[in-house]
Amino acid sequence: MKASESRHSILWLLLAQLSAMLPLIAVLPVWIVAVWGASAWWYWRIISAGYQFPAAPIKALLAVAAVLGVYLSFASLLALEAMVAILILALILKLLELKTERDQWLVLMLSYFVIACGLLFSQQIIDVVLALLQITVLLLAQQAMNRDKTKAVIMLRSVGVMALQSLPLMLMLFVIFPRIGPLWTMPLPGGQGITGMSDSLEFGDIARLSQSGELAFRVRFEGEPPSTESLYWRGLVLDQFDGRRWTRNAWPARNKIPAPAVSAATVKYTVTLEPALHEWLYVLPMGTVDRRDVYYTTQHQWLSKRPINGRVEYEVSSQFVNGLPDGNGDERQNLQLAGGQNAQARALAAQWQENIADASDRVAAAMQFFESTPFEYTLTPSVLGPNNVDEFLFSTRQGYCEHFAGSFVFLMRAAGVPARIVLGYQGGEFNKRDNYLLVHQSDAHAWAEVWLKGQGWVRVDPTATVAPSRIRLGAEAVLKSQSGYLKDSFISLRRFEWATRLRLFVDNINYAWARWVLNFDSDTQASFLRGILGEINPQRMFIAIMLAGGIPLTLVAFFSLRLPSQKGEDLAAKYYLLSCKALARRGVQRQAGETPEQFLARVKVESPSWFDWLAMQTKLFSECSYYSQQSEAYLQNLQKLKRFRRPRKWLEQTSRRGLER
Amino acid sequence: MDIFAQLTAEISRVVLGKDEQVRQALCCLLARGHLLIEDVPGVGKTTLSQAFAKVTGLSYQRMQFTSDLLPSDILGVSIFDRNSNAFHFHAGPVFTQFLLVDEINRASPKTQSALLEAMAEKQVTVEGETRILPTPFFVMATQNPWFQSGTFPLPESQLDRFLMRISLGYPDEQSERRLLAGGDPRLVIDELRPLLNAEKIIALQAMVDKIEIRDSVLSYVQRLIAFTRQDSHYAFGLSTRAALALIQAAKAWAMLDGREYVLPDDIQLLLEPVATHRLKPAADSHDDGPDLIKRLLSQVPVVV
Repeated sequence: MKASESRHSILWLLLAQLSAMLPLIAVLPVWIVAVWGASAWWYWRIISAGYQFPAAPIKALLAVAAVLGVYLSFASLLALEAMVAILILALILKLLELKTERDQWLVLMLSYFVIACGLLFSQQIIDVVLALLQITVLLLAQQAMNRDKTKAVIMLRSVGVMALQSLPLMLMLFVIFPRIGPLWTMPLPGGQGITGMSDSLEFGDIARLSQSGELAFRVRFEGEPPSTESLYWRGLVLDQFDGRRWTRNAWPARNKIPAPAVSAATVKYTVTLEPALHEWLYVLPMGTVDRRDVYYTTQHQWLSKRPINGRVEYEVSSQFVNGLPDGNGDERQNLQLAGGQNAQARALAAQWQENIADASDRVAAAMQFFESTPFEYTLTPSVLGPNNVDEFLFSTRQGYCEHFAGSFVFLMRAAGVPARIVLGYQGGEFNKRDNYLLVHQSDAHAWAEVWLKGQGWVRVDPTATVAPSRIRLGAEAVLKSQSGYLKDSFISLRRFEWATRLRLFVDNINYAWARWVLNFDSDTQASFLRGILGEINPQRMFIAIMLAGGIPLTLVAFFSLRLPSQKGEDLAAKYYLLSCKALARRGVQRQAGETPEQFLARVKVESPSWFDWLAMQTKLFSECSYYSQQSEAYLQNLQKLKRFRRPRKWLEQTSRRGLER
Repeated sequence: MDIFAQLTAEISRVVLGKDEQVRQALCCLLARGHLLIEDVPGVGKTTLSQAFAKVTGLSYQRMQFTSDLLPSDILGVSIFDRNSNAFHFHAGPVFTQFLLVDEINRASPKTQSALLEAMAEKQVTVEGETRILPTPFFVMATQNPWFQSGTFPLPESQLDRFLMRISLGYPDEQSERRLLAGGDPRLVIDELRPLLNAEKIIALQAMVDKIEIRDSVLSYVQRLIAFTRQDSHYAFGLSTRAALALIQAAKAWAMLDGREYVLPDDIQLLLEPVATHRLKPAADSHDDGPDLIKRLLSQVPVVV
């Protein structure tokens, strides 16, 4: 390879490297770009200005410094981001020992791997589009390594053709390649960054969560969806109170019971959960989840046997009931109240306990209290001190749903009624374009459940009495005017109609992407294959693979076997003979034994009007067929020969030129 | 004016109106072939060859073949030298660069084959010792048509060793008039200047090898020889050596034309001199040589 050509391919290589790592800048420390810039500059000086490759000690020093830098930036080397950072630094520093073609290949292949790593962080459709663009740059670099200096457009064309040729294979592999479970799991990135529900609750938590516009999950209903008011997406139950924080008592929470039997009158739907770090599933009570790796607990929660790591999809059949049965609802756990704070509230509850005999009447009295007191439903309530329930109920009176639910449960327990907090989401946003429900973090909600003898756990939502529109219309309707609502999210553009429509459209694509591509796990694969094959056994798989893989390969073989004969076929001669045929139709017949030059000489005498055209065609043909074969000139001549194989075309062009003149 | 045009012009001072044949002879020399000129006596065969030898600047020998000529008369003979008490080889006339063989078909087949071996191998073996002939080695032979008396017609296998067979034909009226008016042309031969020499000719021959011939032309040549092998008008088809000769000649012709590549036109032009003496009409056919070539040219497609 000539120096200038190798430089051309080196430039492409550097570009490919940069494009592979650039989108990862979002999760990586910025100084990596500086390292790349310095390394690339150094390498460029090595190949263009005769600088030396660094000596081994310097390289070792750089490697140690890089690892140290990563450690300082992430405070750990075992986080996924840190590992990717080390990979990228290795890729960058490889430039300083890029001596052979094999090294260049290594850099290119590693760049592909870096692109794949980028998809660990996010797999939205936009990321995939970006990855495709990056791969295009890499493919171009790969082309540049393997051919003479060529225009990018030409390389792009051949890259495109090759990519299209490999598409069927890719699709086939996507469908039939076995989905192997992960050999190890990495703490998924974003655990810190993405807001989501945690398994404990303090006043203000949900209010904070509501300010995020992140998607929590999507739901597709079979048939008519229920009304928004009834959509209480029950997540987990908090029954342990330490005077300030609500947490869950680990033991009863995990007691398995058989899944509830749901009758025929059910709502069926599919939930697609966004990646999150928790083990509970959101279900409309009472429902059964159609999955093998989940179980049902005494608290009527659906828990996953393994932590949910990545996107999960599950099908649920739900039946709306008024009480969740539980024989032991009145055990001490559900009446437990820590410490001696919140004396005022305790006194109020003691009053109810004394005056009202029936538990359900005490609940009604509490609801009456919430209704009659002028509470303010707000995202930005005042910060509360140690007697938080008292302060909220009797002085600040500003709160979000967890304030109402929390203090309600406190009052109930103090009044001797077993009660607990339920965390989940309420409502959601319908995407009318594709008719599915989007539940965002801003729909997060906390409500209460009280245990009534004979009925079991009954849902009570004090927020509904304070701010009925929150339940009827959703959080958005109530909070739109409040300054804190969705303040850190770009969906604050919600106030514009077009923006909402655009957002829902994009979400449509993302949902389809998540449903059909990202969620194509071994279960989906098995059911898909079962749908095609009837049953999965080795013989049928073999036949399917032969059909799916054999047909494309046969086509490829057919075309590649055909190609030599096509090459053997002299295209120049073909077009020249077509030209002669065209002329024969106009009355000048070429004899088989006539050479092109002889024919041209005869035409000059017999029908001079065609002479100019035939002279051009003869010249092009001679250049293609008899002169030395210069690849590019040959192709150009051939193109021209083909274009003007009929004199009409040529006449049109010359007459046009004549007119222009 | 390029060197070939000068050459032709110089020779045509002696041989008038025969530019085509002069060019063919030159082509033959550059293609490292040998030339057979067949025609009736007295049309200028010998004059042409003499002029050609003079202009090319090669060492020149002329032999008149007769029926009693022996191989040793051509190749040379070892004679016992009494003074040195040993045999000394006396090289025959074949040890030259330009050999003119007059009336080759008058010699006996034995003598003919001795010469033809030398032509093919460019070396001779006399009394068990192999001797290399000088380079370039170019034989120009003349023969009278076979129907003339006292001839041993050359067998096909030996005709094959001549790259080309041409005939001169009678001169056209104007040229003949000028010839008649000009007196004895042999006097002019002495005035001709040599325009080439052995080194230049060897260099030119090397250049011929570099002339490009593309697949499309090669396949045309193949179609031509395949046609002679299949068509019933031919007693037998053209040999592979004939095809090689055709290609070599076409390359030389292209160079004479100032081209670096061979056109099918070159093949067509040279088909008659190169192929006629290698073809024979089938027994039941009434065609003669020119008809056979015409048939080839018209029936075999140039472009497919």
